[in-house]
Amino acid sequence: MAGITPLSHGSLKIKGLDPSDARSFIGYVPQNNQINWNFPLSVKQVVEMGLIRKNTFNPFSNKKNNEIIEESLSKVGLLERIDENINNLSGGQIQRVLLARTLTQGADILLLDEAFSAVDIGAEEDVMKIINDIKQDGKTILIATHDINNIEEKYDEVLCLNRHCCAFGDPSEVLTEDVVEEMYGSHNQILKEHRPGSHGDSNGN
Amino acid sequence: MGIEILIEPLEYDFMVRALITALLSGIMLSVLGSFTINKNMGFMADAMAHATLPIIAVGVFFGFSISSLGAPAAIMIALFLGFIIKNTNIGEDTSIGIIFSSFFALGFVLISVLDVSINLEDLLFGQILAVSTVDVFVIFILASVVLSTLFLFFKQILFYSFDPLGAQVRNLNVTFLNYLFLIILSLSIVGSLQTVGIVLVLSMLLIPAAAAKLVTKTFVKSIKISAFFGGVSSVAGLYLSYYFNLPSGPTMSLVASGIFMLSLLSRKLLLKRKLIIS
Repeated sequence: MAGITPLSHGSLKIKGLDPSDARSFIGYVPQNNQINWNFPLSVKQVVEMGLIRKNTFNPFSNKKNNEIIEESLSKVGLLERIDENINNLSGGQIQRVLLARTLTQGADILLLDEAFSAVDIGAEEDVMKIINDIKQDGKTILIATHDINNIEEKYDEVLCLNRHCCAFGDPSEVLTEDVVEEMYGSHNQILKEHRPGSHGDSNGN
Repeated sequence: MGIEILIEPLEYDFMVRALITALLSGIMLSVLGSFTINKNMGFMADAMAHATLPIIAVGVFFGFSISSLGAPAAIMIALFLGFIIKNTNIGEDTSIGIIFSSFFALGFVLISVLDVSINLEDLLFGQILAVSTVDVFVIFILASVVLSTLFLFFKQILFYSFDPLGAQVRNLNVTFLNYLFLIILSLSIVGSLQTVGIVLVLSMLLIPAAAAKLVTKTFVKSIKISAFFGGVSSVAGLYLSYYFNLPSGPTMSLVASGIFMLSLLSRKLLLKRKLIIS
């Protein structure tokens, strides 16, 4: 959807355009491990990246951009951390900073790749709350995840994939036992029987 | 005493030329170094320096001076390294290692076969006292091009270096930015060969930047401090080599190493007083 990986088959249009031509509509939050954390950047510098374009040749910030950055950061509740080094933030706070970066772009569609992989449950709830606020602004949010816990409470619709589309629709309706087995194969018992103190039968029986 | 120590060597024209060259390459290398250390590209930079040897051998054979070969050699090496890494699947480190050693070996063989008169010691460890007025002019142009390109593309290169996928989705031309960075890095390395030589150029690229990272909290500040450390290392190294009759390139490298050790110590002290955050 981001127009990075070529389609193996089929077609994909975003607002009637090819993905590579529709990038201005897309706000992208990459997986944590795709980012080079060596750079000691400030929260402000990371959020400002949402405003960088091909023709950005001024290395300094201007007043208008600063206002957009501050507005985006206050939406994710991190305005007071604007000058903090990004490496001093927790996993949940980093996700909120990356969300603020997509907000500066004014993108209509947000793609979040494994947004909760480095986030604890409490912080995940905070991020979900912000995502729901963003949704109220009329934006479309797509989240790729492997975590199907409480999925029906979190998402309006799910698209279940395992090399092909297994199901699509309201999670409380489409996440049947058959679909879970189609996605996770014989290991689905691990997920089905999962409760505190028990991880199901690892043999899948 | 005092100011005379600084002024006395400047009575010689060769020392003035050396001082300008040292300062320009010291600053240029250490500014680029801040990106290089955070992008983990030290090995790549080393390969760029070593890969110049065959180009210099052939160039000198055809009557070109080493400094006039700098820019074309740098661009050829950057494009070649970038292309090989992108189009092989044997891993970046391995690709760089193969190119590094093959080119270096080819350089030595060519120098011998073509019977080129190059002082290898000068090429490996630098000979700043031999720079001509033309050399000074060439390094001035190179430093201006490298630093102004980095200034203009600063935000784009930083975005691409921090989050390549995000930059690509943001529609930045990431292939162009990748090659642009490789080219300016290569230009700064090749342009500084006369100052510190093939082997020691890495020390002026990486050590001031690493020292600056130890004592600063933000990236922009680390670039400024790195440029200061780079400038001080090269100028102080040059004066020390003048007064104590030491080889100039290695002395500059050792001053940079000394600054690194001091930075390491002051970081420990600052951490103890909780003035910076680990």
